[in-house]
Amino acid sequence: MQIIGLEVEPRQTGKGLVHSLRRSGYVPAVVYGGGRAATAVKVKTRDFQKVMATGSGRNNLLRLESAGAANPPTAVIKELQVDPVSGNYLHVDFQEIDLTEKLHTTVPVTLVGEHAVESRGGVVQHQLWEIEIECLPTQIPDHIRADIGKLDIGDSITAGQLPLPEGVTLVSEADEVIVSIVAPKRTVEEEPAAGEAAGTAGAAATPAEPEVVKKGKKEEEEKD
Amino acid sequence: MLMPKRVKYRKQHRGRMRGTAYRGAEITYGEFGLQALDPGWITDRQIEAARIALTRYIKRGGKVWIKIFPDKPVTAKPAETRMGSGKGAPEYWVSVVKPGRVMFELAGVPEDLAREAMRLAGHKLPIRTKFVKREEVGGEAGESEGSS
Repeated sequence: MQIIGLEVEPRQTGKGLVHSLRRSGYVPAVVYGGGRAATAVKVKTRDFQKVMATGSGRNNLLRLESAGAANPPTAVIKELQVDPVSGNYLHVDFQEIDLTEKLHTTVPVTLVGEHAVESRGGVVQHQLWEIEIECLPTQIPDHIRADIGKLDIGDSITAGQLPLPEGVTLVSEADEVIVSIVAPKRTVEEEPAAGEAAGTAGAAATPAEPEVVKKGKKEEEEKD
Repeated sequence: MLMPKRVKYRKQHRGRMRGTAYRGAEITYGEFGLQALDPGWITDRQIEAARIALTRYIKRGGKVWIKIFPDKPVTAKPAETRMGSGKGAPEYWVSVVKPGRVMFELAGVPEDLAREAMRLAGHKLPIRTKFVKREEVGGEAGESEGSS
């Protein structure tokens, strides 16, 4: 796995300063780990977007280059805050790592052979999209492939059955189901749809009220 | 219609809908989702209408998840009633949705079909929505498409 260079610059802390940083095309970040004190930094939004779009995205190994630093630290993205509506990056946590020490991380599971299953009439239910692994930082795979081409309806693949690259060990539970193949459900939609139509016709029909929990007991308490 | 089986109190205050949704703002089960862009109350009927629109369009093969639940009772006074004499009777149930909330998820269908199904479902809702995709390897997908 290659190490991607990312330029970081020191920044001042504070809510207002951070807001103006974001407006001027930077993402506020912090670097910690490696036995050093945490330092507040900023990275150019465009540079960070490029990093996220290359290789294994969040699992990329980064070399945090800053002006005047002779020995740039190697880091991984420990935490990433994203605006849920716009998708903009709000803040990044970089954790400095030792390339000779194993770390825990999550990698996505991708499916191979979906078309073969679908052509046989099965429906693929991808239940677990990421698994947790332990390996050296340089051995983090971009993704783990699960070949489902030969599975029949009713079959499933568990985390323990996934082919892991050499040096990578599974941390997730081995019996967790990653993907299962089920029979397609025929549409029984017309019945509820008819019920719905009848429901809308009598729109103001009395809505059934749910049971109120512990009402009696409360009244008793009030009396006391 | 969706509604709670048991509640602690029959009536609730209306409340405020400030800020964005941070929980429930990601696709967790399926491949595609319908994300809210505005805050609003989604009624049990609207959720059901959107679900029917989704399942009818995808016909079979796909799987739908409804990630919101109408757990807030809304009261109303009968027509032509004088003001006062207490709060009205519970009429219907709503789910409080904030911008960013992924309300429906879909899996097991091609993207073009999912996109159209979500567009139809979005038209049943009283807020602006966008179509979102699960984050892909090597980048944030978050592909969007506005609808109202």
